[in-house]
Amino acid sequence: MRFSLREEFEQFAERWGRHRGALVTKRLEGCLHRYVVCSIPGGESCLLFLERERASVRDVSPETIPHASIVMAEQDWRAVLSGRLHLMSIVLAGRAPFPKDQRRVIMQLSMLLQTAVLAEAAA
Amino acid sequence: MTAHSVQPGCASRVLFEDVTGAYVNFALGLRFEDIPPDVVQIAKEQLVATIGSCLGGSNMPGARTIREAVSIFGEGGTATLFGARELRPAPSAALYNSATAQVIDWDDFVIISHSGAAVIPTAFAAAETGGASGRELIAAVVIGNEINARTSRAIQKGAYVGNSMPNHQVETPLVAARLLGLDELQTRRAVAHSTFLAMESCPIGWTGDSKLLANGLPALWGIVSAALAKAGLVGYPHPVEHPAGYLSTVSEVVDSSELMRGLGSEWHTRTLNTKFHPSCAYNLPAIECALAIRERAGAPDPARIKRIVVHGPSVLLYVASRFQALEPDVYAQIADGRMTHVALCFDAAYPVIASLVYGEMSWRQYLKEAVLGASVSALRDRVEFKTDIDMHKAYYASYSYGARVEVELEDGGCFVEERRQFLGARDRPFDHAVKFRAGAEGILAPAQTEEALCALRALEKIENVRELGALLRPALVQP
Repeated sequence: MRFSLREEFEQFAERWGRHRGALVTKRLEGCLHRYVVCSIPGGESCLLFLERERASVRDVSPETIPHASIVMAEQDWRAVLSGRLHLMSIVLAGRAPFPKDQRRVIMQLSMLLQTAVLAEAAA
Repeated sequence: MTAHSVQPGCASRVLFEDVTGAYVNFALGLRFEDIPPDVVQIAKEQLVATIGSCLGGSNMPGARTIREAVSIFGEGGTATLFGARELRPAPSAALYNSATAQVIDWDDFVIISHSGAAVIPTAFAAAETGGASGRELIAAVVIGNEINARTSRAIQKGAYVGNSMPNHQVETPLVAARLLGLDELQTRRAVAHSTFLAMESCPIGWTGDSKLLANGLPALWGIVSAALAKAGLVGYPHPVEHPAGYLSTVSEVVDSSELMRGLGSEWHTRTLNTKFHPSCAYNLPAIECALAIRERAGAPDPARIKRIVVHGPSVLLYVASRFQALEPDVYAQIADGRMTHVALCFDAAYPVIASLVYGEMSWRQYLKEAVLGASVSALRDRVEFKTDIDMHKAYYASYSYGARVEVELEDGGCFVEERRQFLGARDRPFDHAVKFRAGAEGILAPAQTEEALCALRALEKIENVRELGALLRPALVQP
């Protein structure tokens, strides 16, 4: 089945918006208002910007200086964006990097991303 | 923060308050009489539960390995390895008892930081070595809890959660210093030595017995640091609060306003949560749900179960998926010895399945034969997780640990149980004697178990903690 990282994140952005900020707490704010490049080695990439009540997905430009970069294979992105796994699952499997200066963003995004995907959208 | 003003020709003033000094003054100055009676009671019960955890944990293979290995620090000594007959030097005992307190993650936490497994092994070993009284031991436990709670709140917005929080190197030297008779300067230096090399755990190390060092090394090192300081080794006087000090080294975000808030007047010991079942706290309500379903439905036939759905907050989902992408999977790596049951202490699906299959969740369910059992294997791929937004909000708002487990059957039947807080939380307590007796079973003779329990509950009457230590060393020969 065809997989588009950009389209998957755009669907995530819609789902995130429907929660209207209900999932964000003070202890998980560290990944908000951060530019996160999400990419597949040798393949697609997109820029995720998460705010409390909305998420936006953009193209990655050469001028972009991201707060974090998450690089993993397509099959791992499929698992993460389905909610079956989270970003840290892939890191702990040794299949995604976890630079120290990005760990807070990655850890907290990992939790919020999965929580949002596995939640029923707010009415 | 200290106000910062610059006058022409003057250097800027430092940007921190003397938190280390405040902690030293608190640790050395707190009198037993100044501790509220209910806080004293909680600390005694914390000792009951933690030592129960240690005794139960001593059944595990990793515990026996550490017991053997600490002989490298020397044999003989002044400190008790709970559940073992031999005495060892205080650092060895602190390491061993901390490891057994956490080998099946059957410990406790104050606010969000795992206190008992660092504080109590440190305090007990130092108390025996220093010949301290029961009242001094209780005071030291309270001191450890209070410091631990505050440092954890200061770094809670960083990358670390739960027992991964690297904050114990502050409280352990303070506890040790109190009981080993250090003065103010020596105690300050003890904190400096303890916190100099910041111990942050490697996340992947939580798949094996290395994880037992998460509180064990800070416990050991807190005592050694106190000894170094008492002998005169010099260390920087502001290690906790300095911008280039310990907390800033371990955490991306440090909220300094939390470090001294209510110290000596607001007692975080009162927030103690003690686990009734052995597992990461995020899993505990789901375990209770599974056990309740097992009680209603009887032993499950895996062939009849279509799927198991577990609902809960983000933290539950985090542990549910943490090690699920490993190849080979965790179970295969446990089978071939690359990993141990410790990985499953932090896996949400395993304890739910084990509770359904075995009808209990104890150290026995972490033995390899239980982990690799046929019924467990049959159900491993049928567990799903979903977010419960209300439980998610409740966790972050009020530290309420919730879960709902639904066991769906092939014939359309369904069993559902829900818990909004785990048994053993501060607002859902249980009699810690139950835990002590469960842990002591097979380790101490029944009569000795009761004698030790009585002594712990009358701890303030004990003049020398070594008397209590003797009761926690079994009269029977252990293999």
